[in-house]
Amino acid sequence: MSTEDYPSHDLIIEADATSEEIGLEVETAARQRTENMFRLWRSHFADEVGTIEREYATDHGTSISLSSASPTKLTAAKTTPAAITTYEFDANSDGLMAHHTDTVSGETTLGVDHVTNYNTLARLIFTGCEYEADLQDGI
Amino acid sequence: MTVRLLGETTLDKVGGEAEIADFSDALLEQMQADEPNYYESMPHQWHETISKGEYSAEHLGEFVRTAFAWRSVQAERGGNKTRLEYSDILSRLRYVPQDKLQAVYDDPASGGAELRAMIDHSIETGWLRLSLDFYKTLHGEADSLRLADPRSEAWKDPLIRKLYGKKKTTDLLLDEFRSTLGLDEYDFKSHNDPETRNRAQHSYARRFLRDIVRMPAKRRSELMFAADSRIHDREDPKDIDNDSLSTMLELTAKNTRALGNRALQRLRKQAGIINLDYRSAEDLKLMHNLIRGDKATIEHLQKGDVTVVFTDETGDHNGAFKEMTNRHATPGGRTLSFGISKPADIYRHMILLKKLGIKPSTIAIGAHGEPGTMLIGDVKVTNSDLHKNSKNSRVLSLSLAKGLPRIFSEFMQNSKGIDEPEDLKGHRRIILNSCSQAAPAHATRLTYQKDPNGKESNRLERWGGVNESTADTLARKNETPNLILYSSTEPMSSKTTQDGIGIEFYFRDPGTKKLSIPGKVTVHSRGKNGEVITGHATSIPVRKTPMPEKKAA
Repeated sequence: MSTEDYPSHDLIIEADATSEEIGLEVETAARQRTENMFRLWRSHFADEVGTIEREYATDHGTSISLSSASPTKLTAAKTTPAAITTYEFDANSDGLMAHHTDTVSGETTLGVDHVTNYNTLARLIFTGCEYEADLQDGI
Repeated sequence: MTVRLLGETTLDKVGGEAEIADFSDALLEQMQADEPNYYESMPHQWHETISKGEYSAEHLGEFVRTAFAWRSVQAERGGNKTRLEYSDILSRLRYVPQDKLQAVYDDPASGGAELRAMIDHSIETGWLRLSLDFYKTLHGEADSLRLADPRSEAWKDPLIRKLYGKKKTTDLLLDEFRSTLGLDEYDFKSHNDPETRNRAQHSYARRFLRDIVRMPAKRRSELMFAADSRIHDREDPKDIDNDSLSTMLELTAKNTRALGNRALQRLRKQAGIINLDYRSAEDLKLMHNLIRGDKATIEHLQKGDVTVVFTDETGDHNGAFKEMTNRHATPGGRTLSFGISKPADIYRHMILLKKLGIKPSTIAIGAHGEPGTMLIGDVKVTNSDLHKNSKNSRVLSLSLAKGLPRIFSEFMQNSKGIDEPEDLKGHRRIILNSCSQAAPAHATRLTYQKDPNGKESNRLERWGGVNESTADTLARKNETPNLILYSSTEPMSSKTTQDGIGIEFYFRDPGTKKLSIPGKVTVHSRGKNGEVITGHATSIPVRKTPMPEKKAA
């Protein structure tokens, strides 16, 4: 097993051959997706960034809560009857981070499913935005 | 009796000609109560005849003119207080047989001018839903909208085209919608700030899907999430590309009109289909016939070589799989297109096919990938054997996927050489339309650490696993001797070959960084002694003859 340090903004999946570029492609796409969703979130609540707190109940017994303490930080939590999963989004100068902890089982897959963390966080942000937008549209 | 009665009568509650009679009674009474002198000359007998079905175009014209005049009077008197709109009147007329309605429309002296004015007003004031219902009525193949097939594609009513000078009714509807929103045609340039522009574009798309497509809220949200990253500008990913957005919306609208939302809801549930712009109306109809167990469709599929295309519906960040179903189409029409949002969906769809008695000879999987990993929705499928697979896992081990060999052996069958080229007869195939699935990789993991100052950093660790590609893993696990597996050693895109009968891979040009250089396809198969053989090919054969022009990729 070998270990190497990487700058926090280089999210490289190590592999043989030409993999540096390959790994970055998927990671970058997932990160960009999350960034876009975060921008969407901010655009929906532009006047309130700084103290955002929202909770949404979905039709699957899942509730989603989103809160932001600053324009670059967002915490998202998905609560199901079985577990609470929290995600953190930090777009500060050190880069973008997303990880999750399962507060019920205590199990963590931190880092291993890094790409899916980005996607899941993006989905949470988007679901929140869409839900709010639908309410605003009077649906 | 108050005017509100009319406004509160919803379309759903309007039942037919008897309702028209009621409506007419109510209308007349209201008119007379409101303005007895003005309506003194109102012909009372016409609504009696309408209830008996004996009304003529002349009667209808009378009704239209009366209602039009009454509404005009209301407008002059501050008619915004009344909820009776022309659209309401039009909605009642949708139960009138088309030939009689057409006669009124065509004759200016019999209320045609008023009828057209009502349509204009309905469009101008954005009474979209009612207007659309009325368009359907004008087209109606049967005597009324209730009898007409709401899924009919034949909306292109010549009457509307004549009136508005548009080639397509779709154009008219889109114009109407834009007019309703007060937006120019997909023009968001006036929003200089990217975030404001993004918000306007999202809002526009949502309203389009809600009001034009009438897509249910949940599917709307799913589609927008799935499409969000691919409608962003490739050069500037922070910006949404208007062309991509409009193409997505218009194809979605077109396919929804062709099938109807009820059928699409079923396709979402049973076939996993979210991206309606990835498939043609014909593809979707075939899938709908399949999942509802249409006997003729199933028999047709059983007679030839079935190809099943699985596309990742929510993880396609750049729209790479948009043309995938089209590229795998065969002239015989036996290519099925399922959507997958997690790996288990592959099993789910294959079980459905088995239940229907359909065994494909080719399975093509479209999902983004990197060495050692394929991404399906939010889930990573990796060749590492260090993960325990469970229902809720977001990282799955290909090595531990016990069901895959069974899929190859029991859920597929050999090609008959009917739709597929003769030399594939006796073989079954898996095509991995996914970057780098033939590139070997170690499993790695990324961890976070904090230094004493609280600064966080990422740490990448190689942590075991195997040093083989996902294609190697699949080939190793395969127990079917005549299975052929196609994959790519590098990031790739795929295109239809120049002769129109196959698919070739394109690799990255080191200079331009674009996926534009023809690349070799890695081919795994079994030797005579059962050993795994790895070779290369320039293309993947798909069909015997090129697709007719319409379906050409």
